[in-house]
Amino acid sequence: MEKQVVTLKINGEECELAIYSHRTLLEVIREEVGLTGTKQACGLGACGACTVLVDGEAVLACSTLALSVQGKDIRTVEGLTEGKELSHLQKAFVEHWAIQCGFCTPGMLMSITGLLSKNPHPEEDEIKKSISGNLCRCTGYTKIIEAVKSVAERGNR
Amino acid sequence: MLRLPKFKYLAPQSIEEACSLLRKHGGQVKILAGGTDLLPSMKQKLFTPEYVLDLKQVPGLDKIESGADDEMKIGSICTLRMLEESPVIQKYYPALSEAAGLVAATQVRNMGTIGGNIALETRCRYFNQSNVWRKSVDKCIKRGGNVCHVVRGAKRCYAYFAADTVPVLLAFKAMIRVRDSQGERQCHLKEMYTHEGKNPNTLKPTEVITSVNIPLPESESGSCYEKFRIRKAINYPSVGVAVNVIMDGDTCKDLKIVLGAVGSGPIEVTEAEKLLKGNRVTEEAIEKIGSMAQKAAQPVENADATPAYRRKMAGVYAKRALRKAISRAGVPFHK
Repeated sequence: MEKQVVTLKINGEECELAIYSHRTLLEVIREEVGLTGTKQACGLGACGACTVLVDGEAVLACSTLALSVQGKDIRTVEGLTEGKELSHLQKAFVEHWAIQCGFCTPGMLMSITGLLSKNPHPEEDEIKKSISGNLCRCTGYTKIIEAVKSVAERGNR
Repeated sequence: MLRLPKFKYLAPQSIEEACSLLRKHGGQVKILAGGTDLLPSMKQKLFTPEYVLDLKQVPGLDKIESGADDEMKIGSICTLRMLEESPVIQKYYPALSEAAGLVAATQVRNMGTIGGNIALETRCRYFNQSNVWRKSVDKCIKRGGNVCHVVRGAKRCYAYFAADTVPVLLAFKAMIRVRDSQGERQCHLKEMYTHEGKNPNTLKPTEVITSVNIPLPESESGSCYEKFRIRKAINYPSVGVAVNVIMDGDTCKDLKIVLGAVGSGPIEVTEAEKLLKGNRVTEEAIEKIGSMAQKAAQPVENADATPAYRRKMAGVYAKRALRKAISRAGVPFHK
C-alpha cells in the first residue's frame, strides 16, 4: 500500500502530507496535522461532531476522503480564532452557556459559521435548520440558539 | 477512530476515463460521489471494494439545465443542496426541492448527490450495523447468506427503499441516462428498480449515471413530497410520499402517487391514479386515495416505527401530499 503526497490547505496554511488513500479528512486533520479540535463521535456521518468547512460549505470530515479535497479551502474550529482572540461567535457561546461538555461545540461552530457567512442575519428557524445535523446531548440546544441569535442580531461572524 | 478498510483511489478526469476504469476493474470498484452512504458502510465493513472511483473529479456532471428537447436535465453529481436551493427547481418542481431539502442534514446535503440518492443502497436494521454486531447473527440474504432476520422464511431480501428524491422523480416520470464504455443508454427511471432488497437497482458495476431528465411541467401541475420520520432531521424516511398532479380546473387530468420507504422499491399507487384521472377531485376521492396508499404500502419490521403505523402514515401523508399538490397546481411554465 503506497502513500500519496498531497497538499491540503487547512485554515489558510498549505500542509504537505504523505497519506494512504483510505484516510478520511477527519483522520488527517487530527492525526497528521495535529488539529484535534474536530471530533469523532459516531464516525458514520450521523452526528455532525466532525463538521468542517470545505470551500465555505459545512461537510462531515469523517465521511470525506482526504484525497478528494486537494485544492480546496478547508477550515476547522482552530481557524475561527483571530490570533489569540476568540471570534464573536465563540465569545457568544461562552457568554450564553452554550457549552457544557464541549464535544459537539466545534461541529456546531463550524455549521453556524457556514450559515453566517451566507446569511449574517438568520431567523430562528434558519439557525435551527443549520444545526439540525449537529447533535448535542447536554444543552438541549436552547442556549446554542440564543448564542447564535445574539451574534446574528449584531451581524458578526 | 473508526477507520475505512484499505482500497486504491481512482480519480478519473473525464467520463470516458471513468467508464474505461469501471470496465477494466469490473465488480471490484465502488463509485464515490458524496460518500455519505458509501464511506459509513465501508467503515462497517459492509463493502470492501478494491477500488474506489471518485466521480466528483469528472467535469460536466453537475449542471441543472433546461434542455432543448422539452426536458430539465439534472447532472448526476448535482448535490442535494443545489436541488434544494435552485430557483428553477423550487418553482417548477417544488416536490423535488422539498425532497432534496429533507434528506438527512445540511452537511449531508452539501456532499450528497442526486445520482447517489438514485442508486442509494436499501437499508435494514439487521444490515446497517457494525461488523462486530453482525458477527453475532447469521449472515442475512443481503450479505450473501440465506436467512432474513426480519421476515421468517423469506425467499428474498426485504431491506427497504431509503431514497427521498426517487419517489418524486418517478412522480415526474423521469428518464435516467446511464453510461458505460460502450455508450449511453436512456430509460424510464422506474425500470431501474427491482423491488428486491439485495440488488435494488439494475445498474451494472461498469455503469455510471450521468443525468436524470424530467419532462417540463405542464401548466396547472402541482407537486408535493411528504416525509415521515421519527426525528425532524438526519433520519431516513419511515414513509415517503410523492405526488404530481396535472389539473384542468377542478378536474384531474393526470396523477402520480409514489410511496418510498415502505417496500424494497418505490411503489406507484396506480389504483389511485386510475381513480382520479379524468375525474373531479372530491373529498371522497381523496379519502379513498388515502386508503389505497395505505393498502399499497408494504413495510416490514426493519426501520423506525412499527409496520402498522407506517402503513397508516402512508395513507395520512398521501392525503396531505395530494391536497398540497392540488393547491399548488396552476404555475404555468415559461421557457
